[in-house]
Formats: sequence, C-alpha cells, structure tokens
Amino acid sequence: MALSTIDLSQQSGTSLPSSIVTASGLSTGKILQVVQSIHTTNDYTTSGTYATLFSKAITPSSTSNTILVIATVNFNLYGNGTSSFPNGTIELVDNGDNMIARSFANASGNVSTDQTDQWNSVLTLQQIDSPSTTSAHTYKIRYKAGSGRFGILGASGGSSDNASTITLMEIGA
Amino acid sequence: MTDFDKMTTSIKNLQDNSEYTIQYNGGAVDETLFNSINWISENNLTWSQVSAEMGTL
Repeated sequence: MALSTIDLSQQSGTSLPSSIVTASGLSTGKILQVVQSIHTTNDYTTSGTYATLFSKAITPSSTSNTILVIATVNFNLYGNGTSSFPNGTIELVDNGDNMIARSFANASGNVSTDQTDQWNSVLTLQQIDSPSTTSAHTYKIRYKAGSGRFGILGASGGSSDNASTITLMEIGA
Repeated sequence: MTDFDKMTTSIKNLQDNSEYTIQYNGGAVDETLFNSINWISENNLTWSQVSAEMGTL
C-alpha cells in the first residue's frame, strides 16, 4: 500500500502550503462561481397553467463546465373550499424552458373535510445541467396548482424566514 | 381562516373553476388587492360581490 506524508512543519495557520496543494492543481470538480436569487414575495395560484416565479442567470466560463442547480421552495397548500387534497407542482426549467427537474407538493392525507385547512412544507429541486455555452444561461422556477390554492412563500420584510431560493454553481470540467 | 383565505374561497364559491395568480404579502385584504389579481380565466366578479360573500364565511 502506498503511503503519502504531509510535513505538518511546513504548515502555516490553517492553510496548506502551496508546495503541497494548489487550487490550480485540482483538475476537476472546482466550484468556479456561485450565484443565488432569493424569492421575496408570497405568490399564489389556482391555475393549472405554469407561471414563472423567479429565476437566476449564470454565465459559464467554459462550454465544458456544468451547472449545479439547487432550488429550495417553501410552499403553502390551502383547500380553498375546493379540495381536501390540495396539491401543486414545481418545476425547474433551463434557458430554453425545458423542464430539467420537477417535484409535487402534496398534503399528506386529508387536510380537512371542510377544505379550509393549511399545509406548509418545503421542496428541494437539484439537477446538474450541461448548458454547453459561455453565454448567460437562465434557470427558472415555475409553479402550478393541481387542486385548491397553491402558494410559494418568499422572504419578505428583510426576513430570511420561509425564503425560497435558487442557487447556481459552475463546476469546472 | 384568514381574510385572504376568505377572499380566495369567496371567489371559488361565486365563480367556480376560476384560474388566477395573486401576490399577497400580508396587509389589508381589500379592493386594491382584489384588483391586483392576474386573471387567467375570465372574471366577471366585482369586489362588492366578493366582499359580501366573505362576510358569510
């Protein structure tokens, strides 16, 4: 078995000396940039047609790099006098409005027989995309109702409570 | 049931299958909010009708 040794006497502070490892020495998997958008309003729909909620653009530095997309979406379901099982759908679409990830928001069981209760929870969408471009590439979060009223919560009034976010990371090839 | 819930429930009661989006960040549930609704399906409701229905819930 091959053994590697790091001479800790060369270490200064909390960083490894450049003679041991440098960022440029890493051939793959480097996070080159991170951008984020925070949704700041509460939006609701009763429609079965997708509507765009919020988006974020990133400009890759190379066509061979990939984009890790992480979206966290806080949602609210309400029966609205229509449904004991309110539900909705959230999807992540790429620059060409192609769906690359989708998740369903469901109340777990019968919310109420009078169709007026609330249900709050959170969904996370994650996807690795290969846009193959060095132009700005926009990712969007869209939503639609299945039944009842479907709401997406944002951080309002400067609070980070219930923040829905989309984070884009460019990963070196 | 909040006033906002009463408003959307009233819209459903008066005009079933209504499709719309609305932004609500707290505050008054009034004619201004009602007029801010982005209707996707046709709307024939007025705020006075909705407000009256809200009073029954």
